[in-house]
Amino acid sequence: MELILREIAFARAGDKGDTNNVNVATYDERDYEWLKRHLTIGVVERQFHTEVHGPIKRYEFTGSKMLNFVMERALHGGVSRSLNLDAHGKSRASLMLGIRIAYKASDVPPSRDA
Amino acid sequence: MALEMADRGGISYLCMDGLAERTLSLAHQRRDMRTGEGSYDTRMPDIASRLLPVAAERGVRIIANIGAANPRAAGRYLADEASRIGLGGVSVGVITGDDVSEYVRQNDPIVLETGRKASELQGPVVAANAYIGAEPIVEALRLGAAVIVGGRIADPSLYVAPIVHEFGWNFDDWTRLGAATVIGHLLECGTYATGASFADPPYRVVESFEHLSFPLAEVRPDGSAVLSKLSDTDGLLSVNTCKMQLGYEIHDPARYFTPDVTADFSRVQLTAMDGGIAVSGGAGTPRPSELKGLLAIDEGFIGEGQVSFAGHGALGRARLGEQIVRGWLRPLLESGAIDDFRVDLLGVNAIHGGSSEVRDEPYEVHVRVAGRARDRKVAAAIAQAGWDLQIHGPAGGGGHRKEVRPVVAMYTFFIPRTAVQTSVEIVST
Repeated sequence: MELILREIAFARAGDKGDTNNVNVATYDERDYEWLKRHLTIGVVERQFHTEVHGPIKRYEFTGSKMLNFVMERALHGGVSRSLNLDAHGKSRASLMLGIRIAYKASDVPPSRDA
Repeated sequence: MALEMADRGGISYLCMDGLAERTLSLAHQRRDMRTGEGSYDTRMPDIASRLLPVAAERGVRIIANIGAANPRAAGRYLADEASRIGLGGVSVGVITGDDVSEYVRQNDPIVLETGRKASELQGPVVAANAYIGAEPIVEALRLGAAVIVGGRIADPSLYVAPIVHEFGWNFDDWTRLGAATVIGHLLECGTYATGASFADPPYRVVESFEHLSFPLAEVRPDGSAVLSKLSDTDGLLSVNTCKMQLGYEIHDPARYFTPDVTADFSRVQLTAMDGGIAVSGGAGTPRPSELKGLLAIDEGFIGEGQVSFAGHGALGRARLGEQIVRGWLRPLLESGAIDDFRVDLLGVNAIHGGSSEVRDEPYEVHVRVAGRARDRKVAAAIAQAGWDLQIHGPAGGGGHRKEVRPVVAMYTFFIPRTAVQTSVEIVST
């Protein structure tokens, strides 16, 4: 079984210098633990590897149940010098939400468990 | 909307963050190199002629970093305009001290991004600014300023200041300063908390964008708050819109460094209630020992040339165009005169590059040629090559355009607090 992250989660990207962060929350907070298990740094690295040239770290907002991915050397030098049309990397939230996650029938996100 | 917030928001303070990393570099670019004039926020005339009278009438105090690269000139302008339109007795507080170019000249600090000294960056220093905090703003409020302008005041500090001032907190009350920083962070991007940059139908729907409210916060003495928006406005204020703003531009949520505090966003709770969204759980630990600084470096120019292809075979012709333009520019590319270069196919791979999903062939493709170079002539040649694709390239290219613009690149460094002397001046009308 497979889902596209956008079906269960939403995200926003921001920039500081050449560092891009993308915070990800689930529509249904019951899916948060599932997200934590499946949206690993490795999964995110595979999706972003051509655009991000530094390490990726993952942090948790435990109170508001969000994951935050912080990516270094991610914005072609940062907003003031990048040649990318999206110099801020704002659209990276959509790249995140395009991640496909495969899961077993025994590990369905709670919001989909009828 | 700022007008409406002042007029009918029932607020005591209107805080405006008008300064992003790039905005400051743009302001430095506008600065007249001989006189230093003209480099405050471009919206200043509107703020003076329209917002000031309403704020004065409603007793709303304004706090903003719209002084950008020249807070003194901004303060003088506001005071002059206020008296010109008959607003007597408006006291304008000007906060300076964020300009640390002299420190950089003398101390040549290490640049975070490169790990090397500032002098080793490949371009002259245009400006250096330190992020300054809420303390000088509180001082200006104590001195009775009705309008306070500064330069590189940290975004959340604009909001922390009136909260600290109202409740009489100390600047070592880390938990409360952290809580106030959370509130400031939720407010500082305006409509980002009230429905902007959120809609993604059919999953996230915002009914209407016609009349977006900025968020406002009613703060309690314990540092918790209720966020709301103006009545009879569009957009959306929800737990989910606030979540997105809470995480916006944050790295480690347990350690968000500001000049005022190391704020802890990690345990913040957002709860929907009648009248808005309750915010609680913000905390903090002692402020960082150093301040963050931004170095603006002249890195030459970006040249950009573009052309569009449409109809059958558009993608093939666009790819041929890329090949042709790379051929034209090969001597320049090989000469080392170009610092960075790319050819984008809009509709295919312009934004996410190699991470873009492969799709069926699009009906139209826009080719964009862009490069950065120290020499304006080299940047212009890159732009010209993109432009020339319409004339000397594949069939059916249309709508060509070209542009050359200066690049002021921003780099990060850290500066001891003792090297940053802020000061508050009151300019009266």
